[in-house]
Amino acid sequence: MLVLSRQVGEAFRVGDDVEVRILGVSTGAVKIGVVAPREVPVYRSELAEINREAAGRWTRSELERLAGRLRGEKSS
Amino acid sequence: MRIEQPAPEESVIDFPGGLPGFGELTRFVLLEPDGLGPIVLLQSLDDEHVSLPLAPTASVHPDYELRLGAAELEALGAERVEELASFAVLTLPGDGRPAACNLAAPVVLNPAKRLGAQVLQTWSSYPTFHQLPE
Repeated sequence: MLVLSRQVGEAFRVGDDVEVRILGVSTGAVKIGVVAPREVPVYRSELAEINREAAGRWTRSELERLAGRLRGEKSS
Repeated sequence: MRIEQPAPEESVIDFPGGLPGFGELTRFVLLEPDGLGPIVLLQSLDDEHVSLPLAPTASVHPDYELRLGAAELEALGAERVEELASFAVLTLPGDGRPAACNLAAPVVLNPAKRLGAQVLQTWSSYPTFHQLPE
């Protein structure tokens, strides 16, 4: 992993097309701006994990029970 | 799950930016299996193992509000948010944890243009794990 230090307001690039800028720092959190071409998806890492967990874990019977609850039916 | 029949072209939904976690997969269909309504499945046409359960946001949060920026609307081929349908990704861990859905990043579809994207609602405080009724 590349590790680098940046001051607030400074930036770095990933390739020629993606720029990442440090906008601000507060207790325990960093505000970051990303400029990237539209075809480069930028998203929080946990979104990928949630999607993969959602696609990988379900069973048909679990979905049927949940669907019933969403329709407002009492579970038996 | 296996897709036995090749999907007719008109039912394919293109995700030009893909979906987080699924790399290069961009072609999906929306399946509505019997008995699962209002839940639907977003099924990849390129990887049979990728089948994402979704529920219309209105079915999991009666007051759910979807907001998109101009660039996000344009990417979905829409002028107004009313042209779009939003769905929450359902997480069923199967390990005793309750079922939940992701309200922070709904899957948004343009049914007319067959375009989709997962769009983070950065303006909101909607959670990524919104617990569903037991």
